[in-house]
Amino acid sequence: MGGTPFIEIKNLTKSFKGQERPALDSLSVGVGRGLMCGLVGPDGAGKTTLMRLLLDLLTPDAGTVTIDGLDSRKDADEIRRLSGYMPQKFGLYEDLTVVENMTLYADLRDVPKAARPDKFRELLGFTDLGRFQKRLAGRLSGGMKQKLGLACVLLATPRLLLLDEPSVGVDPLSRRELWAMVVSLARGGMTVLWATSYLDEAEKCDRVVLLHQGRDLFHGEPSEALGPVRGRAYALGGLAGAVRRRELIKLLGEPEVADGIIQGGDIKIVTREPGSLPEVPGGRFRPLAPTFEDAFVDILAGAGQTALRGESELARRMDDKPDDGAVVVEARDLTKRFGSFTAVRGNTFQIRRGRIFGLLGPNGAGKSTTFKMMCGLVRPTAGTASIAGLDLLNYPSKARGRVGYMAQKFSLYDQLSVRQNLYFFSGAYGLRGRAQRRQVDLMEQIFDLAPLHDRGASTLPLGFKQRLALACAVMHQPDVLFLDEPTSGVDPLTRREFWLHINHLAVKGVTVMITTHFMEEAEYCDEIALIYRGRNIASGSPDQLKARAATDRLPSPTMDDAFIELVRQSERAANDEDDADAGRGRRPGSGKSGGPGNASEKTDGSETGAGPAPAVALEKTSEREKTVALEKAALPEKTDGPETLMTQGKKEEEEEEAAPAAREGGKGEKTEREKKGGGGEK
Amino acid sequence: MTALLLRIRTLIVKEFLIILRDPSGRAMLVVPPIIQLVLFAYAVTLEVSNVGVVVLNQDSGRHGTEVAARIEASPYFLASVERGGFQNIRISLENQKILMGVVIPRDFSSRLEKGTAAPIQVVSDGRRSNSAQIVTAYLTEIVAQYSLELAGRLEAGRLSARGQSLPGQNSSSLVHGVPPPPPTPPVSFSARHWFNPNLVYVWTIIPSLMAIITLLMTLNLSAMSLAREKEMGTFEQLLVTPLTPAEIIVGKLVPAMVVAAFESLLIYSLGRFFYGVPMRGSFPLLLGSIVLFSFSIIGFGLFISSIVKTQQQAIVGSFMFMVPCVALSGFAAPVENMPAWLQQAVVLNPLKHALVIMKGVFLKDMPAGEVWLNGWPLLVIGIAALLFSGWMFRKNLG
Amino acid sequence: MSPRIVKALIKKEFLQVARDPASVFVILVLPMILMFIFGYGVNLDVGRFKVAVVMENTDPQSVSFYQAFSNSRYFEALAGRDLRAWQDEITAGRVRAIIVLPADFGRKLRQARSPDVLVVTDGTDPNTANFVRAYVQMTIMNWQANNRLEGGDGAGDLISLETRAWYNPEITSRFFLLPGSLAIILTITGVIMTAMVIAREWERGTMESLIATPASVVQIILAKLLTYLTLSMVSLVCCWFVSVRWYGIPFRGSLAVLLLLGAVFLFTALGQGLLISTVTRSQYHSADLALVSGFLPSFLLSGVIFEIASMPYALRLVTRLIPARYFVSSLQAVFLAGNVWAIFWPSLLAMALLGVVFFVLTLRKTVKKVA
Repeated sequence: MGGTPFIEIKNLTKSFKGQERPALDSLSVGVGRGLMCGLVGPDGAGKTTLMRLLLDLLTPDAGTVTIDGLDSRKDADEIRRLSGYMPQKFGLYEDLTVVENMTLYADLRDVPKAARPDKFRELLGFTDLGRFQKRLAGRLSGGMKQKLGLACVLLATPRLLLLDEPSVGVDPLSRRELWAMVVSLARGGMTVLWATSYLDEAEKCDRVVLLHQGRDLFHGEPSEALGPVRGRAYALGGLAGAVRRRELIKLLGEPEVADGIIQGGDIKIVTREPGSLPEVPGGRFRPLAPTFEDAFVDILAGAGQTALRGESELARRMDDKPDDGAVVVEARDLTKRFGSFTAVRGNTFQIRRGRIFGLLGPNGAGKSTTFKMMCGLVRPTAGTASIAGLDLLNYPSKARGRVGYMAQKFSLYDQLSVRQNLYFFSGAYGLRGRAQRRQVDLMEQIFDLAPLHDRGASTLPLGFKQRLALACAVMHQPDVLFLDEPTSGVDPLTRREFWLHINHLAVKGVTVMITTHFMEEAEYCDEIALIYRGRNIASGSPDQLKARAATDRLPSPTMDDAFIELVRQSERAANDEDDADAGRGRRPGSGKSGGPGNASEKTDGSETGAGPAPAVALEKTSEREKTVALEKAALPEKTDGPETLMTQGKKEEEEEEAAPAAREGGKGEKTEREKKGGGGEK
Repeated sequence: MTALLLRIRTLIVKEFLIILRDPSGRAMLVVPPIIQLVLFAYAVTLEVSNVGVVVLNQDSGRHGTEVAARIEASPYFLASVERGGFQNIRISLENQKILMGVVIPRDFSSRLEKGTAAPIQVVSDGRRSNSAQIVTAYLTEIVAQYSLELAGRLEAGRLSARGQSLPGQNSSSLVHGVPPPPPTPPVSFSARHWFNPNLVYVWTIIPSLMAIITLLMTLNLSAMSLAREKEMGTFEQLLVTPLTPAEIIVGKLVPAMVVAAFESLLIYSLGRFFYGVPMRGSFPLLLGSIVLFSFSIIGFGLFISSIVKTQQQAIVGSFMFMVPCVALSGFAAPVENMPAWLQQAVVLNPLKHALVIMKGVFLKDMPAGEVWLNGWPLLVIGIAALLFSGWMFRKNLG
Repeated sequence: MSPRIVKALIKKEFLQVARDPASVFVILVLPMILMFIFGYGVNLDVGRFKVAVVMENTDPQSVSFYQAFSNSRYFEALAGRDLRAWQDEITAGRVRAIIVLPADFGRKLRQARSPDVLVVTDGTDPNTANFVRAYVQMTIMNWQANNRLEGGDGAGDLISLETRAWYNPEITSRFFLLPGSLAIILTITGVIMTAMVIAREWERGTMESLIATPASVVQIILAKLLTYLTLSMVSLVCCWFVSVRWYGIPFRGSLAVLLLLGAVFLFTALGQGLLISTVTRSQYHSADLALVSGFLPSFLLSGVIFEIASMPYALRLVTRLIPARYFVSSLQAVFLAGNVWAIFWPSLLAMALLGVVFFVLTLRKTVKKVA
């Protein structure tokens, strides 16, 4: 990197009132012109603060920022003119259409009228939003919203592109597309600052700045970060179910092991020293290439983060549940309709005691509705959900007494202190007297909450909030634990600590159901159900799903790859079915997508019956179009309550106008068929 | 049973901790009601003590002067006597400098002397006709009083002129063979204002404010509480615990009712000991009425809470309920002035019943039977609202 | 500063309003609801008071006296025999007053002696008590005057008040309440809506996107102002139309003047709303603050219902800071009296001054910063 960097940050410090440590602590970094720089760190690391300081949306306490020779404070207007910024919250108007949003930003950024048609066409093409020009931005799926946001930022061809976690809460498929968009559009010397908490994204950047608690832990090329962990990553394979969990707990207790996680049927460990492996009778380690996450964890541990302990104190203190392999959670033909829209159709699965079950799927595919029905938060239209044999409809109170629930945003009472939260939730679950006091004291001790017990829950750091939420969910010794995206936003170490508890609880016989966007978390599950368009399109162990998604092109897919591939397969199958409906006659199913039989595989027959799409259709449907269909299917994500149904009719008209293509729901299928019907009905 | 009570107790304790946790929360319970009390107690008055009245006395006789002086001396409004043209009054009235012009015509005294009717012209500003009517009522009294005195004097004068003496000795009329017209001595008239002999405005307002401020405070509290839990996500967290919807509702209802009672008693004590309003009725009855009233209001609040999704919608919802509630309660304008159909509709307005009860118990020592007659609709409203919110609760689940 | 950005932002605002049912509700439906309440529910006309006339003796004089009350347009008279029987009724609020004729009423009159009539009112409603006392006295006077006339005894009523209410001869309270309520309505649409829309942009994160563009604070605020000014003017014209057509309120001024007054008032109200949302940046607190600082004062301290002149001095000073106060008197004038510039000029000036203060404060507070 010769000469002065494009962005030069010197001793930048920013504190906020009421926070103990500064959000940014004398940061000094330079970013060269035309580079893609990843800004990595968990929530609260200072990523957003840094971006805002660059644009003078915040005033620094100390330090300077120079962007292309301009001072961020004195020349703020000029800097804002030359840069494009996409905030973390969807910053566009949800009640404006796609094109209206783009026009507004074109006006604000003074894009010449003459240049607009070409520019719009290019961006709409890239984002695949062309067909949704007249759709309200609020009605787009999470991934499409982010693409639209990106399109609006790129309208004026900024020289500096600031993207604040564009991929948060977005499913793996859309994440990849966003990345591809930035890579191909950010040309001509555009400098990109991409904030993310996904470490796999960071790995692909030219440069990485690793922030933690406002401090710069590492900056440089990603490969440099991998140096210290090279030769320290190993996999221990061939372990089944609960065995690998026990094994991991044991391994984490070994002095040689610095870090360990479960990856499907494997245990992955990072040793303290290269080559020094712990003794595992009958086990066989094979070396792995380290990932950026391994490096991050290593750096964090070096920075004095609490090291992992082998056992979960929490689980140790819990009562053992009988190891009887009984079915604890059962969904039978679970169906939910909102008006004419079917959010979940005929899902059936069973979870046996002590197993971890994951619900995966794109946004709005029906996984959270399924999850809510299992918790008794949504009443199924048909089918039953039962906990430990108790039907949630008939014995709601009794059934719920055996469940622990941890909500996405760690729903605690902000106005109550840590201790008051613990007392309240234990009381709500019927604990009282000495037993209640004992449990509360125990939780405070296990989760290191005792020194904080008088603090308001809202003032806790994120990691402690998560601990408190977990404590509130397990105090009554539930048989079942429901976890809704339990680790979003926390750093990898905190996530490991969390999984240590969950793993150990499962060993003790607690049954766990979890939803997540993090594929690393999916690897911990014994079983996964992939929900798409309201259906359970694939279920099985992580390794089974990966195997099913293996193609010639990609023989050993990651969980991410498997997710994307399985969704695409299902998409093709659906098209196939439509074609069949349209009178072409059903092709014999090849059985390729039919997974190996499994206790939980009593799903609808659609996936086993569906074969690969006919060759003609495949040729016609480009990769991109399939993606669009996927996005569209994921659309009605807000259709979680009856109130949105009032607007449904209008929405459908709009959609029809804008996108006569595949959609969710009866009407959508019809339109789809009509479109396909070019060679069919007519 | 004990498990149920303990769970509800847990909910109630939580609710109080949230309300009382920080000093600002505690201040929110005390400061706004006091500010509202002061504001209302002074702003809400239909007295006219400072409105301007100009008396244009064109009469130079003694009656004109006397009437003008009496009007000017009235303590109820600000009057000044002028001479000169009418133009002045016209302009002052148009520009809202004065509320009313009283014109005593040139021939006022001479007509009265002759015993013929003498009119006084009063022009008032119809843009403020409410105040104008009040002032007119005072003027009527002054003029009627003078008129009566005058009638008495004239009567006496006429009788003596005819050679008749005082009534009772009218034997002479028989002499003429014509029955004399029955004399009409003035009816003397005395007014007594029960419950509030000096018509102190604040006496009326304090009992009304007990109801209104309690309404303002608790409606918001209850409408907001569930909406806040929905927004924070703790509502779902509650629903997955063994707590039943009925328990959750009771857990919201009881603390809000305690707060309502607190607010009422705060206003009550300030009214009694700071404003010196006498309490005539039974205190337990008053307390019971407050509980009944707050039950209906909180029922409404929880109903609003159960249909909204965010706190912002809750605040708009409670506002939409509050405005008609206060405007159509009989506080600003009497209920009997409304069209008949609207009078029937306001049976649904809890505040309308509460105002009758509060004023009645506080100032009039209203008996329990009468209180119940006005209070049972509150019970019905509250139960209906709670059943409705319980139903919405269940509906939200499905 | 190019008008292009402002134009683009205004277009955006209008699109948003058109798609937000809540905004449409606040602009068109809420005003109608409030007008309904003020048109039908709040009626300050002096109606017929329900009174009891207790006659301890049914001699012709007492009956004639009772008839004077039952024929009066001010009273709805019920006949009674015993004061005690009516005490509970007054406690229950079912009658406003009891007029007691003593047993010797007729006898004394026949003997040409002055009988004593007692009037008992319900003091818990001082306003009504005053009216009742005055009207009872008037009714007695009229009754006596008629008796004298019937008796052929010269003069009837000696002094009478010939009252005329200018601008509102029928003395219909609706005539001044409805125009006054427009001030409350526009306060709600103006203050509350603007307070919420800017806060909404902060909350939804769109403001952060916006301020990261070359758009300046003045432009963002100007766009909001112009949009909501236009919308509120639409609201005003709707209310004007309904007042005149449906509620039959006379309109003696000119529409242009009404629009001018409305525009200046809205400028102030919107300024207040903008200031609130700029300070709070949260919809919830904005709504709360807007209600407390917008709605309550416009209702209580603007003189729509409660006479400002009767408030204590300190409170009268406070009312001078409330824009609705000036708008109320101007509205009542422009509807009922015509174009009274002597009222309009000072009001316009005061409102404009308050508006400028709000805007200066807003511009000072709105910095292009997120925190």
